[in-house]
Amino acid sequence: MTLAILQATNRARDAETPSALLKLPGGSTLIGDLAGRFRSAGVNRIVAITRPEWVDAIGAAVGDGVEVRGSASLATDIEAYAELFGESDGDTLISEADVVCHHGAISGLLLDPKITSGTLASRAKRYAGLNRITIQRGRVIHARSAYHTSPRTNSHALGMIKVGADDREAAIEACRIVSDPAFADSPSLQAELDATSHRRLNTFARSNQGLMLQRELAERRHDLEWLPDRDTIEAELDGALEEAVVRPREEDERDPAALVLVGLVRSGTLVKPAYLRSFQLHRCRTQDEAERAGTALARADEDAIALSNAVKATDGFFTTFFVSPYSRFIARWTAKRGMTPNQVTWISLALGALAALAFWRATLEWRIVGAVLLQAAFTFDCVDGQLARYTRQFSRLGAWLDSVFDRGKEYLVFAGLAAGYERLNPGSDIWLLAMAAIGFQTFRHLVDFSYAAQQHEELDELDYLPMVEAHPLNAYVADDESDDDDPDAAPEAVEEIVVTPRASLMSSIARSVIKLSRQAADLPGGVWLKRIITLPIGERFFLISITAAIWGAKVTFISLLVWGAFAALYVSTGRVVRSLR
Amino acid sequence: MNALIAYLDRSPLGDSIGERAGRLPGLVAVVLAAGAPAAVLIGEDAALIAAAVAWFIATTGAAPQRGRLGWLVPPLLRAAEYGTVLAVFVDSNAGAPWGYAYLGALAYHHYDIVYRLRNLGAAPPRLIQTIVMGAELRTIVILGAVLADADMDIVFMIGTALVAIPTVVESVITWTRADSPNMNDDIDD
Repeated sequence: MTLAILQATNRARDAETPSALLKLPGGSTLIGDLAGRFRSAGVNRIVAITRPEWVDAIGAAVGDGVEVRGSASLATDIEAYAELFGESDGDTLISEADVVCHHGAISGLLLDPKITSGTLASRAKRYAGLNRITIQRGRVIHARSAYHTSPRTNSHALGMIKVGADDREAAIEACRIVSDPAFADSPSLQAELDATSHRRLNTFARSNQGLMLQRELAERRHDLEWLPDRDTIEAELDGALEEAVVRPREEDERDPAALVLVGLVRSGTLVKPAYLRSFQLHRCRTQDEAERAGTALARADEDAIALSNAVKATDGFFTTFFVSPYSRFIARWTAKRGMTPNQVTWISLALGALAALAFWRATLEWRIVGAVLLQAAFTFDCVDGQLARYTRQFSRLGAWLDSVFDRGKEYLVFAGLAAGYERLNPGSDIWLLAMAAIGFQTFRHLVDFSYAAQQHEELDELDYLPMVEAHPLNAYVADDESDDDDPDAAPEAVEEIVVTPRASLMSSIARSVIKLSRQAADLPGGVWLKRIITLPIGERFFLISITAAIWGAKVTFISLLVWGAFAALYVSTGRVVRSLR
Repeated sequence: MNALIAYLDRSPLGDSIGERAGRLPGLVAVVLAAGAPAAVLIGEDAALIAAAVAWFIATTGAAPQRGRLGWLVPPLLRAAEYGTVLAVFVDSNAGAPWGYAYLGALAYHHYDIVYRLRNLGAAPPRLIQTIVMGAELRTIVILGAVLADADMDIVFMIGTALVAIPTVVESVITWTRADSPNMNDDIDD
């Protein structure tokens, strides 16, 4: 039984009513629309939490399917949350009620089985101003709220979080800590809240409106006639401050989702990001914003976006530019015919096996046939993953089949190439080359896996501060090894990661190398070049096809070994350097 | 089980020795292990015997969870294992296709260890690890076969069957039974 909690406690900026009751083009309210979207994503029970004076209005807007609870302050909000977590026996979603977003954004967070607990996230700059988080190796390791800061962040949390069924205890504990009076009184948290307000005040003071108002106020002292009178200026200033500083502070203080997220992250729970990517999400506080959001959403082709999001964002150059542009349409076609990802995986294997057979025939014509078959096999290999993500069918068996068959195809093709070459050139050492190729490729993968395992161990062993501590700045060292899953993010959207210096020659050399590497990524095409060098699967299959078709098996194996060695050197240097930093 | 230790692919015997005595610095383990392919290339009996001993010490004594570069130790030991097989065929081609098949079986087994740890959270069952002998014993058998001038065709044919059949059968059974979804989507290119 999935539960969704909608927080409808923000006031609209241009009215005294809750922002959740703003109207979309089409007549429904924000909260009504959102509740409908949650329902169609499979949520069984929806609870709206709002201030006592708005309970009736919200109730009218959402109808009978949604329970409405009145709650007077953050403390009672949080108690309600704790109670609801206790009652729920499945996953729980938490969201602000004044959010407008695509259906795919919600189902991405709710239905992705890799995400037991998670948050909608994005690195795109347009979400600046929302709570920032730090994502590393696919996990959220730091989260900010009005009360909590963290040293170096690289993404934004979009305000919708999922608490997994198994992580409810941690969430309830977080609620308990927040509702404890000691929480609000903690000097470190109060200091952080004040610091946030202070930063807002400074931003406002430097803004155009702020500068103008300050100047008018100063000039009023000289009693200049053409300026509005003092009271007017002061009223305007008060109003502007209210909007820029006071109201946001009140809203922040009452942001249970952010606090629950911080609580989950700090208790060591595995929290993963659900990247928004090309889906849209808008938070609306005025009628104008609501209308624009509704129109923008309606105009977007959600199916095209879902298809585009089904393509992995971190693929290699060859895959991204020479396969994914059309493989996604094959994926959609297979979806329409009701095929499963596993069926596509088997097709891919069959094509690969046929390619190996063609290579075994070893004449020029057959090698060309083999090359074409191999490329077709690779295309279908991309399709099965895209189909799985597009239709949201995930299974362990499917992922395992995909990986095992990938290796199987490649190593069968090696065997076919070697056997064919041996037939035409008896007594050659082609099998030795084939053995070197398979051994080296497996070795490279094992290096990758070992490094990843070690990185995950490091993250597992992180120490977290308790929730009543804001977080001293610069206390934690973060690595910049980000998994850039969000293609919307330009490199500069990621904050510079600072490293606590180890005072040694080795580490300063290491840091210079890392800096050089980052600068190389900023060159045009730099990021792609860096990926090509590593000889990922797309480039590898293409290399095999081209060399086998034109020159034959021997050249294939030698090119794989040479490029592979270069790639291994490049990647290992980077990793060793990071490990020694 | 700690992933890096599972990647060492030892038999239960090797694991229990390793648990008690596994403290070799990574560099030493790797250098000792490199003795195996080198000895096959040299071909002298004494070298082969010394390499077998060194190999056993290296694989059982490795401690990959320590040190900043400890993560490199399991892959380098694997490279030495594969390198030993390659070294057998440098001078003679006899049985080379079975040598390739044996490497294929080993590769299947090693990838399987990684995938199960990441997605099923468990290392391969002890029974399998016993049947496939573990890295510390397999290479010693190969060194012994080279010493005894055995027919490498047969040796690797048996080796392939011994590694491939139990591993494939067991993994197919396990994975087709696993019914909830993949948890990690890390690099796999």
